[in-house]
Amino acid sequence: MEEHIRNDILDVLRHAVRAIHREDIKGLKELSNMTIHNASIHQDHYSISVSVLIYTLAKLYERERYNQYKSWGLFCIDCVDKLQSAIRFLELKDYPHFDTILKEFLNDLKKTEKGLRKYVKDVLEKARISKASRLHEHGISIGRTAELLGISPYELMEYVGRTYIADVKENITIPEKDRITFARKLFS
Amino acid sequence: MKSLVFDSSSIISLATNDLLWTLRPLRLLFNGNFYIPESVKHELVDTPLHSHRFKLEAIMVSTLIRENDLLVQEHLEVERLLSSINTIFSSRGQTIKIVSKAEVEALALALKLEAAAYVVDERTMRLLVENPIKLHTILESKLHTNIEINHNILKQFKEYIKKLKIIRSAELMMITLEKGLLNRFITEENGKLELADALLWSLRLRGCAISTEEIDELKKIYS
Repeated sequence: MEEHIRNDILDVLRHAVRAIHREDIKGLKELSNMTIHNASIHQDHYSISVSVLIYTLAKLYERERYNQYKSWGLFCIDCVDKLQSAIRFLELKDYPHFDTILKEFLNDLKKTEKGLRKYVKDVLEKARISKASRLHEHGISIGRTAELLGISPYELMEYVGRTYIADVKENITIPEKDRITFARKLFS
Repeated sequence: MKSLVFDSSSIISLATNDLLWTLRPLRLLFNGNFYIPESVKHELVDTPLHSHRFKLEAIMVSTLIRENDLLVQEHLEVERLLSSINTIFSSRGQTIKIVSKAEVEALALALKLEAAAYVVDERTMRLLVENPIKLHTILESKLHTNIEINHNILKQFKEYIKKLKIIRSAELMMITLEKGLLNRFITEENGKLELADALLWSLRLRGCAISTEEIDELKKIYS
């Protein structure tokens, strides 16, 4: 892992722990965007996984109704513990263990109490698509982004269509009247 | 025989808008063939067939293939081209992989067949072909960092794709409308312009990278 990526991820994880303690949901969401730049350039699975993970946690903490689940309290403690373990491994540059804890974290999110599990899986899936959309917004193609985040291009197109990515002024390359004129000639 | 080559994004736009059926009458009007490469077929059909989501769309696309409305071109060797395109842009010495193999295979197929056009709805590939400097602008402004361009590779790429023309599902569907293929949807309440608006926005909202400005321009043409 490149040193500046390691430092960026460490920064994000440390701030994430503080944000969780302060119940700063807005801060958590902003943190998930911080690794997107690295994710877009380096396309390393650490930056991508951390971005998805932090965004998922932000969305979960944002919903007070999850408090109704018995396992919610333990789930929160476990999250902070895992984040702190991840930080320790990354500080020690122990990448195999960091990788393991990241994967375990994402997998364990799906193994909570039955009622909560369904919501967690749903939030995790939506987090992937949301982060994929951000990568695409940064200039990476739909196909490449879908590959990196392990999602379907069908899903990503559906999500991207509801954003304003297409309205960025650089999107227009050829005057539309020229493009439709050319298309008409193909079918004349 | 003349041809159009589609990538995954344009077929997805049509599939999710229940407009795949227009490809047969369009193909007959075009008097040629419509192609996808093997890797695009894999994305559109093979993978989603193993899940619940988009399985129906996968089945519908596979039907088009079975009925020869979409012809699948067997594997094309594109590793060098893919590697080359993915080294055009870089940041602090790190090259940025901007496109996938399937997208490059569709591009290569369009060039190999000397296709009349390459039908692509997603933004990055279209910008790369039509105006890579605009893609560079997007990368720099969104990544908040200096993005270097490998001008030699870009020059070679521009030479390679110089004859390539791109259209989107949006333009295809306007042709469909013009040719009367959607007349059964035109009523007194919902005239041609209303239908054009509905088509364009539906395609846009399901991922076709057509801007509001371009939609308005197209609607002016039809008003």
